[in-house]
Amino acid sequence: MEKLEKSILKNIYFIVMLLFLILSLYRGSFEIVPFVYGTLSVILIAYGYFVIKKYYPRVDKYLYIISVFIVEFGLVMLYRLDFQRALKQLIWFAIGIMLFIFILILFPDIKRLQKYSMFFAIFNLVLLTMPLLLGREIKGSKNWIQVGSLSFQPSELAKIFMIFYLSDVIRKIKDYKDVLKYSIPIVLSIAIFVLEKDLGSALMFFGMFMAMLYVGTSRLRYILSGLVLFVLGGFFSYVVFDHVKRRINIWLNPWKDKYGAGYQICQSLIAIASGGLFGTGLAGGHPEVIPEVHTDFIFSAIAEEFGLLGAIALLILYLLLIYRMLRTALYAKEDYSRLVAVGIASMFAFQVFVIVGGVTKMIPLTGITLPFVSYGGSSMIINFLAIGILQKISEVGNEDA
Amino acid sequence: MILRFVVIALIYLVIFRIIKIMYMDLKGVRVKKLKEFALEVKGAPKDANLGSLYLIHKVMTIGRNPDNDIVIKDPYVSGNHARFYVKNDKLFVEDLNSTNGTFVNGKRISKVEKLQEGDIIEIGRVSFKVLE
Repeated sequence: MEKLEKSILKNIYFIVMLLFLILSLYRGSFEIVPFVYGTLSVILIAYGYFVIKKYYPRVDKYLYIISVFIVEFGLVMLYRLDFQRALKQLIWFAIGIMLFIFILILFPDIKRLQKYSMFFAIFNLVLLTMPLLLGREIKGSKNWIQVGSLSFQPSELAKIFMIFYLSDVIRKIKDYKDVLKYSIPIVLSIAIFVLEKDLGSALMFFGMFMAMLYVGTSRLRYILSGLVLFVLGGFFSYVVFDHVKRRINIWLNPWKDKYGAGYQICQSLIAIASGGLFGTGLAGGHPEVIPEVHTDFIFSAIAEEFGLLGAIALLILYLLLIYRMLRTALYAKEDYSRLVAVGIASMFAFQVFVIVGGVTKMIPLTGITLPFVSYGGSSMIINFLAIGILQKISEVGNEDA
Repeated sequence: MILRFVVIALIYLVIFRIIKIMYMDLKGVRVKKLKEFALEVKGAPKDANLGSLYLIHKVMTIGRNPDNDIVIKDPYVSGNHARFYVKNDKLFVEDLNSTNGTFVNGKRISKVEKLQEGDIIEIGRVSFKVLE
């Protein structure tokens, strides 16, 4: 088993080095910088794996292996698009891995967090209202806090807090009244998201809530009534809020205004189409014409340069990662950890669905990050935090397997 | 650029290998077994259980009360004396505030102590040796 793991890791290192080799050769002459960059990222991965293997032989290592493989997709693509951002992203990746190791070492057993669910709910709402008061609007969404030169997206951290809150209260649900009582923080945060024009996060919170509610109570009635409320709420916000209406209209027909409001999605579709089955090859396409290509539209850039097959490979990796998270939930010892694991798995699943669906025009586009791949510090750190928590759960769950 | 096909092929190779391992995991193949430890009785006041082995499975408690995993009827042993447990492939012993203490290689331990093969543990008038 361990041998296989190591050889898979070696294959991953080989692919990463090959990709960076292509990047150092594509301008005609050999450049050393991409090579150094690739080596640094490989060393980071190897260091993280070494620490896990040495001190925590019982944890699920595939969570780590698959996530770092996905991260490498993002690093390669970012390097090819924008060197400055790629450099920052490598630093965030390093911080993410450090945080991941710290969680393994210092974090207490997840069960102990159970008592603080009210605290999580309140803190979650505080975090979400902060940008309304002191945030500023970046790219049409008012969901950023800026401290000095660092900007931070509180909704990323709020997701984790929400999961901790929900995992505790969902076990206590007995009838409809409980559902209504405990979903107050959720409804409030979704309302805040709509006000902040952050529709992607609103959709994700709703999806997470439904998934956890279903797993925790296994009653279809709650989910159906939730969906009815969702449809009503969606219709209401379409009528009342201008920005929601605009998003939906762009989605229905982006080509009508292809140089204005629909520009992003049109460019994204053109890029995906020009990739074809095998892609244009790394550094062979022109993904730089897509606006916001390093964050929201990075999936289009990958689809263009790695082709349909590469994009599907990335989705398969996400699928495997989520399967692995649900497996952690199956092996968890008690309901609280199990629900936390399910919550984190559904968080990743909905996030990937919302953004990949958005850039391929399957659902209306809403700007959220593609986990592990998109450029952005808060997203990278929170994703590694989530993986660390899952590792912690799997450590306890695997103990007498 | 032939390399782009190579890269995609390699990515699928890795995915295939990961899936293969997960499939083995689903079938329940466990290549790596849990490490097991045992305690051998080295010295006892009545020579009664001398040389007998106790396998440690996850957690094992020791004391005079009958609800312990190993029961020692010895007035020098407290009701709930100590606890052995395995975590991350390592054996630990924890003293449960016993009156006469738990000794590892002649030294009284304060709370939790990591054990290695060959360590001698004294509880009351009974001594154990750690085996792997």
